[in-house]
Amino acid sequence: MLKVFETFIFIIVGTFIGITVGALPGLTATSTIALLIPITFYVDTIPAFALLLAIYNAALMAGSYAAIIVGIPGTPAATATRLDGYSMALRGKGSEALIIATISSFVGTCVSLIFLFTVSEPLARLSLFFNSPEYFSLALLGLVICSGVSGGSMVKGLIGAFLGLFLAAVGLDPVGGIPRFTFGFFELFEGIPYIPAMIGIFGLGEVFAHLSSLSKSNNISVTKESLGRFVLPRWQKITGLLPTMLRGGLIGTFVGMVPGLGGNVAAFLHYGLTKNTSKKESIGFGEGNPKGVAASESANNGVTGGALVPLLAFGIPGDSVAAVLLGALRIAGLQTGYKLFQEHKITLYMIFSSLGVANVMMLVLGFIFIRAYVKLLNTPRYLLYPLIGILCLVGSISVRGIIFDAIVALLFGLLGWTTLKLKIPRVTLVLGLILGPMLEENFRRSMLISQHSPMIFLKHPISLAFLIASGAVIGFSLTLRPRASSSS
Amino acid sequence: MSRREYKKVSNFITGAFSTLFGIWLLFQGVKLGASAGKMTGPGLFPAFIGIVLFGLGVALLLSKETREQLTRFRKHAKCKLLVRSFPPSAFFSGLCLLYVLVLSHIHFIPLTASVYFTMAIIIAVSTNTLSKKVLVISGVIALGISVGIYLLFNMVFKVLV
Repeated sequence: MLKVFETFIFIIVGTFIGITVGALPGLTATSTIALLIPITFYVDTIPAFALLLAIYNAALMAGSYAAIIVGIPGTPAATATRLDGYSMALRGKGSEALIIATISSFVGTCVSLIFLFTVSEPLARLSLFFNSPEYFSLALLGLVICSGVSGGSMVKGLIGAFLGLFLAAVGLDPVGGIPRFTFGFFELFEGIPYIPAMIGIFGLGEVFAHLSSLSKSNNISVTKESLGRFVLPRWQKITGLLPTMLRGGLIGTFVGMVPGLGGNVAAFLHYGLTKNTSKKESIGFGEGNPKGVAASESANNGVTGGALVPLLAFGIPGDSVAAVLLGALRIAGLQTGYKLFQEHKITLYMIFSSLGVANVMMLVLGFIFIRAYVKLLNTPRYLLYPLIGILCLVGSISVRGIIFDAIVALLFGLLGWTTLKLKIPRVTLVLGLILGPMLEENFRRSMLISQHSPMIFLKHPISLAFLIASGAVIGFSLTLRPRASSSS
Repeated sequence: MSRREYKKVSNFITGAFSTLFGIWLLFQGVKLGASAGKMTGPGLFPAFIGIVLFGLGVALLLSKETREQLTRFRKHAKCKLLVRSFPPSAFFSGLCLLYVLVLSHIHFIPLTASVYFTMAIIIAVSTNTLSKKVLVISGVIALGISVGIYLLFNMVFKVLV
């Protein structure tokens, strides 16, 4: 009973933190979760994951606050919400847009949660048929898909992924124990410390990026006119939007399952679909149509459950938050795959349920504190960013208690900032870092089994299918994308 | 180099870095013990990554988009040599790296205080609000927050040594 109460408190705290970071432009769920991962050392698995998932879910929803009220998306996933949400605010219907966004996010997460409960275990059962060649090919497919769809150039995506794989190779060789790329630092013998690296790439990287473009983003002010009167929309209006919300949840779930896509793609995909399939209305899309807000918000929150499905079933994260959560799972000593469902079934379903409770809390707290949270947008950036910088350093040191990890976080912060500047998708870099050990170990194990014959990857049908799929993704990305960009 | 010009050569910088880094990694992999005959050595994986990075770097350098970027860059930057325009960014990155390496030799409190102080100064400079008063206040806040966090995390949470 005490544990349930403890978990509930963590969900409330997580929801508050999530709404706060989501509402403030520049802060994302990924950086906050990376920052709070060390908490999994000191708290039981269920409350720790309840906290992290509550942050994830609430931050995705609250990203719409700034997008609607001041036209600056709080998170990248809220960019599509800005199209109609900001137009509604300009017409004095900001509060209505915020309420629709909150309800749509709630419905989107509900749909993805149903999927998470019903599909993840049967999917994980497939992993029973996997051996080393299959795992190698699956990890390769995950990297290729991520590089192909994460935005920008496919070649740059692959460069990011292979840089990540190199970083994963730092440390003692898993078979022979020979140090590789440690440059005499014994602290690197266990490999690059995962959490400081994540905190650096997502937390400090974002802080550095904002510091370098500060003059553009520090003047945000919320006016009463844009918020309008706080009146709940009529029930018919909400029920009228329900089909859009449900479809958004479904699309978000499926998009979330594809590595590298994330909430931004889901939101734009569903927004486009809704716009193209809707009848002509008095208020058009992009001019303040509530359907536009419902479409993008339900889809971007649908990603929450979807991204967890491949993570739990195969150890392949669906988005950057799931990638960070994989680190938390490892710290908690939980191995992904069907074994996880066999050995920790109750824990796992308690965690899923905690996401459901967090979703309800997001709806309740979102309604109660909606106006107070919007005022958060006035927080001066000169107070916020240095403080986040310090918290990132504390978070990175707290795992092993050595200053070296703060230096790693700072160096990875510079790396995160550089990749942003050079338009190399960070999610591919992180996925490479995460999947590196899985790729190398399974590759070398396969080589040992086959007595150094790479044909083993082609002889196993599932592995062959994954390799063909990888080739197809590369082929499609290289041939279709230039045509698409030239025609657009 | 302005922000717009920098964006124009991002493909070239990424491609050049990937190519050179790939070559270095290939050599390191071979040195660690990678050979096609024995596909389980510790250097095989890094060497494989090196080859792929080299290939991707060359592909990016030779791509139509990169060539167009470079042509635009030469035309608008009025600077034939890329190197001549690159130093401000390179200098800034080098300075950051040096700063980080210096930090590795100090204790938690000076480290966090220094990072906070540097960030506050960067913000003050970017927003044209740098003054003696800002310097003093930032310094006091930096030290106060660092000591506060140290005491909190050392004595209450016990995560800092």
